[in-house]
Amino acid sequence: MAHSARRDSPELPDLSLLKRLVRDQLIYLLEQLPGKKDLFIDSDLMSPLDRIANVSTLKQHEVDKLYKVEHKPIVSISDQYVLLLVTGGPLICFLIRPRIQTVKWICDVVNADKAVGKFRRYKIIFTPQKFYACEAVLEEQGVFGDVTTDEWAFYLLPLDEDIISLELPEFFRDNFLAGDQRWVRTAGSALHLLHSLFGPFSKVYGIGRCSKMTYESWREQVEQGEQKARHAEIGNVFLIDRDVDFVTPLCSQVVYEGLVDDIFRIKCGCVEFGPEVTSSDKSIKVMLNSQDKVFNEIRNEHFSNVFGFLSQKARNLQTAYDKRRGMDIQQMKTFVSEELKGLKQEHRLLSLHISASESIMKKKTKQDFQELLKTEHCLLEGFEIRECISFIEEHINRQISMIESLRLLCLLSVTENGLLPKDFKSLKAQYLQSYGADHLLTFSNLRQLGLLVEQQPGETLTVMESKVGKLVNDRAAVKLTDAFSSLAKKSHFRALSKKLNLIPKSEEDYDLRVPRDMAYIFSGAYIPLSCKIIEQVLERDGWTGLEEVTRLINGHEFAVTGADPKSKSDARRIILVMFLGGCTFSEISALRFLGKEKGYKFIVVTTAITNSSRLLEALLDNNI
Amino acid sequence: MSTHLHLVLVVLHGVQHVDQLVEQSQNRDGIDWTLTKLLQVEGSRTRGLLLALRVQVQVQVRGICGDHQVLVLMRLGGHHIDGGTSGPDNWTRTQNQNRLTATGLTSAAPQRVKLSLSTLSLELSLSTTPRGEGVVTMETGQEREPVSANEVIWKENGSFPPIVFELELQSPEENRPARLCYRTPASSCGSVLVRRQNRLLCADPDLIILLSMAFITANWNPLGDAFYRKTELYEMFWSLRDGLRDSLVAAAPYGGPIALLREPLRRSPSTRPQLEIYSASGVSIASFPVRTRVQHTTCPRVTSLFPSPVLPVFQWKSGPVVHLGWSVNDELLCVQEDGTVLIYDLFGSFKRHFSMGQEVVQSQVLEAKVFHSPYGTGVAIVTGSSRFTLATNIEDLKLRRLPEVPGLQGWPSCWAVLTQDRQTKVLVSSGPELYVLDNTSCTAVYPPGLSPQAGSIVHMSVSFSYKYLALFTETGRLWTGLSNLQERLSEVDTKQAATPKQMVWCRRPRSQQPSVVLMWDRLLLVVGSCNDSIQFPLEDQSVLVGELDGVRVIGSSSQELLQEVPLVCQDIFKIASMAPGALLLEAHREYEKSSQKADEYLREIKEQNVLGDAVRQCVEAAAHEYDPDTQKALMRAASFGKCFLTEFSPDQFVTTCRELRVLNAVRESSVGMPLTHTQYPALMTLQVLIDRLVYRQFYPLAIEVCRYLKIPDYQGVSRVLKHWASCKVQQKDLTDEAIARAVCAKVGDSPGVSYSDIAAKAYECGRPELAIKLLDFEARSGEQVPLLLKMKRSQLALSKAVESGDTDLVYTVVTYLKNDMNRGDFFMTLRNQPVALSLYRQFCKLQEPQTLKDLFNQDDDHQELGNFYVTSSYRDKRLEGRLAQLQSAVDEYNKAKNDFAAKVKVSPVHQVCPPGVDGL
Repeated sequence: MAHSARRDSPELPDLSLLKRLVRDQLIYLLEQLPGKKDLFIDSDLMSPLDRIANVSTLKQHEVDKLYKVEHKPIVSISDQYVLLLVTGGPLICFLIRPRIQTVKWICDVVNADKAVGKFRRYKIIFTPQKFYACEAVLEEQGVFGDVTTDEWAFYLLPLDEDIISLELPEFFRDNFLAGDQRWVRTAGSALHLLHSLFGPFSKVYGIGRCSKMTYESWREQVEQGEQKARHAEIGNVFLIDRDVDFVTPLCSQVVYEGLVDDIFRIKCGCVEFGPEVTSSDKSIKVMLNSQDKVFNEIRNEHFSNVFGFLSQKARNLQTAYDKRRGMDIQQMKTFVSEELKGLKQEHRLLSLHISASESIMKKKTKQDFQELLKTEHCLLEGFEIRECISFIEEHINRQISMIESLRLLCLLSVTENGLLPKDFKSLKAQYLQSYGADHLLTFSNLRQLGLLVEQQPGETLTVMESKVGKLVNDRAAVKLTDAFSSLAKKSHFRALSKKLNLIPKSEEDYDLRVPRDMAYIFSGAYIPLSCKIIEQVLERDGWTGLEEVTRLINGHEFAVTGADPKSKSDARRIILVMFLGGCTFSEISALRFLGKEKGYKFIVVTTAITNSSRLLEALLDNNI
Repeated sequence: MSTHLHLVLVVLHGVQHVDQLVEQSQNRDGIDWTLTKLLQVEGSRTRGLLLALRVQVQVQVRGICGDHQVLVLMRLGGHHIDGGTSGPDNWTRTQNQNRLTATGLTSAAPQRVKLSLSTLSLELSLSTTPRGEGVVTMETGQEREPVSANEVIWKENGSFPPIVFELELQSPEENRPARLCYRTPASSCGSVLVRRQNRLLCADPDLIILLSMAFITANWNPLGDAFYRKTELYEMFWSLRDGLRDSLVAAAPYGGPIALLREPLRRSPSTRPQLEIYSASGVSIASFPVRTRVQHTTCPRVTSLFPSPVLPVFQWKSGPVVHLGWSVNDELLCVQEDGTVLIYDLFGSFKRHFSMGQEVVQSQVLEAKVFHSPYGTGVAIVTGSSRFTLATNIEDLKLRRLPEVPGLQGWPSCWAVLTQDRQTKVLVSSGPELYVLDNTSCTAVYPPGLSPQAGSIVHMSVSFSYKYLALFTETGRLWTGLSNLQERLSEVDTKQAATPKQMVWCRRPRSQQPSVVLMWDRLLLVVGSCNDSIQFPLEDQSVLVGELDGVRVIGSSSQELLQEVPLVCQDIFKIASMAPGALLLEAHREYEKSSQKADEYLREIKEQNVLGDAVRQCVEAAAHEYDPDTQKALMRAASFGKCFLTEFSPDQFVTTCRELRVLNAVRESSVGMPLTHTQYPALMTLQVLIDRLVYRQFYPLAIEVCRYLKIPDYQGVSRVLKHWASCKVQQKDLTDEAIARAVCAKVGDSPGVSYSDIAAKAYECGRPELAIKLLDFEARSGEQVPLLLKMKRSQLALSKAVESGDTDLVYTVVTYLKNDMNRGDFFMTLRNQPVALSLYRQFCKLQEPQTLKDLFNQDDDHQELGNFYVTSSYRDKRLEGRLAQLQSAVDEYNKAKNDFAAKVKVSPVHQVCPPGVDGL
């Protein structure tokens, strides 16, 4: 990044400790089960597990075969699972998330075994914890005595040196949509783990209901456990709910890492580039983290800068290669042994990122990306809403993308604080006709979450309306109502954005090369609300002066000063931000930028990395 | 170099007017007689000469001195030493021991001991009354002055040499002994010391040491190579009308409680025997049956035996009791004649009962014994049909009927329970024969080396550790040996024809001279294996309790501990001992006096390079002493010696200090647990000690002990508080509010105290309101839930569970409610708890879709119902089914006034099928 970092940035604590801890625990659990065993792993645990312990480690601990848990019913004896199980060893170990569905599947497996009279030992390892409901299912299905259970406290997966993920994508849906708070304790335990390793925290801030509950759960665990006096490595903690800020994840990401995630989907810190990028038949899996030098430099850059940077990099590389000329043998020798490998590596990555960028460019220009961005920016600023609505209608009717359309609808609703009833009806009808009536339930979910709502006519304006209605005739009243409704469009988001200056003044040109503020991650159009709140709270050391904001967000904010005997001044500037419900790469980039500006270092803990597609996919309800 | 002479006169209970005495003693100022001067002998290194007159049941005059001291003694003795009736001829010298002992004194008759020192003669006339009060007459010179029973008068010419008088006197106001010590101005700080009610009115620290030192050896009695001492533990608090006569007495070892059943054999229904429980110091804990428990019938059997319940309180109303005993958990076992064993706790509340077998009801129990084994507490009985039955562990009751003893009819002459090779056996003497009974067989055995003319065995005793056995034959011979009857230790002729009332082993770990204590009506005999013996006269009925390291002698007015003097104490206190510890003690004493002799003694120890040993000896000896003043003197000496040592680990010193403070605290007569330092670590770990304190409801003391020993809170203070609170909630006379407040104030938020446990206790006692109040204090709402469920406060439980934020807990409650309530109520309850409701919905979605439907129906949530039908239509595989489901959805949407959804649905249903149906 062109911007120079402040010199005194504190050192980040070593997060790989988390990995080692978890690996040791897994190995311990496996060693508790002597003999050869087959391991069934929940499909979404596969990649996280891969980051912790690879196959050879598992094999070392007598794991014979690895299977993926798939929720296919066991119908007959000829079914492939039964076949697998018949051939499998006498000990079967399941490594799963505590989900009722999976447990039910295991029950079916056990019962099928019992039916054919096969005796086997079953072990279920729940991660990160087991739920009573799961045990209840085991009991209900009559296999409680046949299986033994254990817990693998795999709470935190460090994705990068400043990103930790809980890898719980269902947290968002379960907690915010279904109101099921089962994961809150998990989040609390994760925080507790961080606290016991890197604490004690000197200050904890938070906003949102779930944050508050997480904080309380953590507090409780701290009180129950024994306290040790340690050197604090993390000073402050900020907890934030996803539902505080839905706008940010709904926007298109234009920072390189976010774009890669939007287009190629980064999974557990790892992206799979398809043939169109690799320009061969095979697809390549690439780890995207700070180890990758090229990526590390461009990940936080606005996409428009990436090409320039990459070509500069290519030129540098060429110069480095060119050094070979005119070297004597000895110099050549050192060059080959020391530099060449690095250069080659860099070369490979560079070409990969260049082709990825090309691929991104292709996709983005094809669908009139600029138009889309413009609409988004208009929505954020609240200009020309009519045009935006027509754009969205067109988007829907052309069936460009089911998720994209939904995203725009939601963005419209969130920024406008709900759609006018007639807009709502027409847009919804068009959407259903375009993408299928089964999205009816999706709409119901979105409404429940407040992502896509209808403005209740006269909810806030009834009094005024009735007064006015008496004075003028009906026709005029309709117009007036419209006018009032547009008044009401001064929505929460509008108010918030005004209060916090989220939209930079558009008159001046925004130089994306030398960003002034966090808005650069959205091409200078919008400062992410979540990051802005964090900035403000850290600046003010609390919520004083932000009362209006918290009222608009709907409260549950807190700031607690913890026991702080002798934390290093460095630690005070390391801030743990925990997103409950997921965060986007753009937000992480924005925080990194903020850190550089203010001399902080942020460590982002999130329940999962999210983006607009993941967010909305979690809310779809057309699964058959 | 230096010589000290301590002359101590002890006068018991003779004087009533303290003032008068003080006056008198003040009058005595101006006497210039120093025996110290007299005894200074050039070139000798005599540490001390001690003349002790102890007036109690036994009078003994003894002087012990080293070789060079004999000169001094000779000089004294050369003039005249008279031992009263025993006469000078009875002063004997045992070989190797420079010791003079006056023996042959018997207690019953008044004794006269006469000492003549050159021109001066001191004569004591001692008489003992049955209660042991002594009257003292002192005569000096040729004059003789009679004294009355209530005062002591002494007269002396200018050369009478009392250095120290100690007078124990009975002050008329309080019934407590006060002490008056008198010291002549001859010593450096002569003063009057009056100790009353343990308060020093006029103290002279030197004097206290002097006194206690003097007493230490005063009650030592030689037995073979060792000494035995009898230390008074307590003056018993109880006042028993008839002493211990006609009573069944059971006292638990390790300073445990004492149970007393009066006149157990009286059977007339009008006056039943009384059962009382006392602490070891005689403080009454409970009288039986306790007043409040009268309404509760103790057990059905008992009431059927004695159908009329209108019995006066404080009386035993069950069947005749044969034997009393204490279990290891401080429970009282009462073995009745019909074989029923009733178990009571320390406070006399009935706990449970069990029977020793049906056949016993007919044949009756003749004798019973309660014994302790590694497996717990056991009971053994012999029935009227001369059969033995054993229960090795009363906690896990398994009755074992032992095989018949050949030729045994009626009472066996004596028997004992042995634990050997992880088996419990009974050793029984039947006429001239001795048998060992185990599970299957009855084997005749012969004690090795028992002289053939000894006759049949009439009494036997097994040691505390079950390792040794003592047999007493009808001819008065005492055989001791290993309990496996493989080896004989000794055989002694006691010259006593009568069968002893009690016979107990008296030994300590690493005992030099184990002995057996035999008790007859008026005599206590300590017989060692070296043919030596000590006789103590007994004034009244006493009971012997075998301990790990001695024997407790419980009398009606006092309790004493008879034990072998530990080697280290011998080394230090033996007169003329040159052990490093003894020298160190002397050095410190001189140091306190600011005398340069301290350095000489110290130098001497250091020359031998044994200062470390000296310190260790002092510390160790302090641990074994019972008197705090002696302990202090020894510890001070040790601390003094420690200063001259580098690299000496203070651990032993510090631990001993701590342990002694704790032990002294529990020995306090109000607490009444006379534990010795040997017993303390042996079986009484700290945890057990605290448990015992807690069990006896000495909560403040227990907390102090925990704090003092810095036991982590959750193991120590918190545990005590928990017990206290559990006990507190049972107090019926206080209101719920008051108790809750008291508990909260005390317990606060001590770590590890769970309010829910206390609340559970309150609930058990039938105080649900109090339980709920207490639960409010519980910080962790998760802990409140199980109890609330138990109390059927399910609504409250649910809201607490939700509050805790623990979804598992919420789910537990929900599951419980689901099974417990009818469906309607259940749904209504959930409705008020959105968190629980959504949790349950999630569960239903996956497990019980029908319930989910009911749930929505209940709430009239038509929108959700519509959604539900749509979702379930996906699952239906048949087209007709799907259509029906979707139609229901339309109906529901209509009801929900969601026209939009209804219409959207209607049109596509008929035209395009929902996705997934296409394949059908």
